[in-house]
Amino acid sequence: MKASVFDALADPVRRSLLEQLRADGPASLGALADGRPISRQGVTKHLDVLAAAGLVIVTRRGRERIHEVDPEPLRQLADFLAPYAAAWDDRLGRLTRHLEENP
Amino acid sequence: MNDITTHVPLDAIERTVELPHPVERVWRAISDPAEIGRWFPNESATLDVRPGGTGELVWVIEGKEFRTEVHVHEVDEPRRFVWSWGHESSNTDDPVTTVEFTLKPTDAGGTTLRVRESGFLTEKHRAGNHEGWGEELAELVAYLGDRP
Repeated sequence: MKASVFDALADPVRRSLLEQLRADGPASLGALADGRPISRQGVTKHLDVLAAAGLVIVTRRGRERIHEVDPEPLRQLADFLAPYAAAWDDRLGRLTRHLEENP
Repeated sequence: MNDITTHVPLDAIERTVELPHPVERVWRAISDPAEIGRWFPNESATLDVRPGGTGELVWVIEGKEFRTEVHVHEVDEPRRFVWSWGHESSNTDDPVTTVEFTLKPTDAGGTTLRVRESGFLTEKHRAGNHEGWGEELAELVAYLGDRP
């Protein structure tokens, strides 16, 4: 359970499902499986992994399961990446100045 | 830097910067080790710019030396340059990540330079090594471990 967020994010299909939920908001299994080259059962398995990792929250609406992103783990992920991102801001700033001084 | 745009797609970092210089000039700045050493690491840079080539970037921070080994993956002059860093011989705790530079000429004769660094969460995890990811990640794991 502890490391499951890494397993969850290591898979490109699950990253894509998470991206779709982040971009489009809460969605049913049908909406998430639509247009994907894998079966609904396959998508369900991936969604279960995302839910077990705490990245996706599942609620029932009638017979449908609605999936939505839990933003908190992703916010923590963004915090983890922040120093690496800041380093690129710094480097690209220096690249810009280097080119200005050496056109 | 208001001309740098930001996008954080899960475990990757993306930055795009508009430069007034032509792609050939920008290509040289990001691939020629003599030029890289002027803006990237603050001590020195070596790089064998061809697929399978290697190099090393060296920083000196507060008297301490930090080295990272670079492995070149793709060289498509002057459009695309891909390498990875943080490999075993490096003496930093950073994960092995892939850095991809993409250069596009603009109508005004300048360059749109995109940098994407990815692989923060997967590489060392697949190797079964969760250490060295820093406190932030330990906190993330602890947070998720607490979840019902």
